[in-house]
Amino acid sequence: MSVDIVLNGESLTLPANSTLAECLMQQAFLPDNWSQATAHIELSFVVAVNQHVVRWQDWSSIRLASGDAVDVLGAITGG
Amino acid sequence: MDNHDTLYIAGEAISSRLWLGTSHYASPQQLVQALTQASPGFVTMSLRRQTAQQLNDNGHWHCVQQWLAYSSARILPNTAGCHSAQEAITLARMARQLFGTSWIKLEVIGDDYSLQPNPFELVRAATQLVEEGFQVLPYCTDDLAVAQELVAVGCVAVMPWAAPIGTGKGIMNPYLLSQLRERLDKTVLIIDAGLGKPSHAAAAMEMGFDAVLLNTAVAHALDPITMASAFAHAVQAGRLAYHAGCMAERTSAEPSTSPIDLPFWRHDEGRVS
Repeated sequence: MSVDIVLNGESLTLPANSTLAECLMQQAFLPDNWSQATAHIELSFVVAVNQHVVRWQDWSSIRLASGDAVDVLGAITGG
Repeated sequence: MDNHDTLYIAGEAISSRLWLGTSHYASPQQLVQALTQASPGFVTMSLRRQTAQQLNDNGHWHCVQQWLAYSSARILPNTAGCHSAQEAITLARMARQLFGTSWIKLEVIGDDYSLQPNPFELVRAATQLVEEGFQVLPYCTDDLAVAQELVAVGCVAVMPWAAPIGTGKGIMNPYLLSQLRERLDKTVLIIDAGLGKPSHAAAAMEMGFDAVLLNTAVAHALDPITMASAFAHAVQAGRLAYHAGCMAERTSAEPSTSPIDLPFWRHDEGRVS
């Protein structure tokens, strides 16, 4: 079983019951051994699922479903 | 000016009346040197989708972070590129988490050609973000009624354009901006967008605006680092002139040097040359 999501506008297939944290690890946004216990509070990106901001404290508890849209945003220069 | 002229917004002291954007610089080093020369009160940033590799390679942001650590400047994230209140609200929430600040430069674009703000969506987004505890600084046009509404919903400052973003045309409509300054005399007003030369910034400050925010005028100069310094001086000069009080314009000439006792006074012509 798998789930089909959209990450930053691109289709992505994940194993069923994948958490948001597992998705971020698979895409190298987080190290493979990342866990909430070792999370660094100064992350260089933020994440929204279906246009709702998700705090890093919740990344391990949120399970992704087919059709979910995950957006990973980082800082860019701006005016 | 001295410490008595410090700009306060929402009870917070802002270190400079020149605010600077961070886009379009040739290198992170050039950006940092321009920031150093300008000593801005706010430095604007934004946020976009990025891959893990892009996050690691983000040299401009890393340099800005290092510079901010030793500066009195604050970071001001923007919602550039948003076309609806909901997009802007979501991006503002993400910016607060990413940058660790509840200050937000609120942009909601209504027209892609002129980048003119959408006033209806702008007010809607501002209302919601103020309720959520943001210090909202909306980018708007010089429309008085819109600015009044933005103040009414709780924006801590209002940022009218001088001209469309990136045009460098300077103050296109001095009448409307003067009216805005006169009618919103208790509101912090920042000229945001459209300035191209230090003289434009000085003119805005002479009109009594509290600060100016610009990006392209510095970044697209032949020598951005020197131009950053030029703008810093211009903003200071304009502010000093505002406090000094500029003379009233006259329609007829009046000699600076007295004609009285001129030895070759033209009595027959009744005038002086």
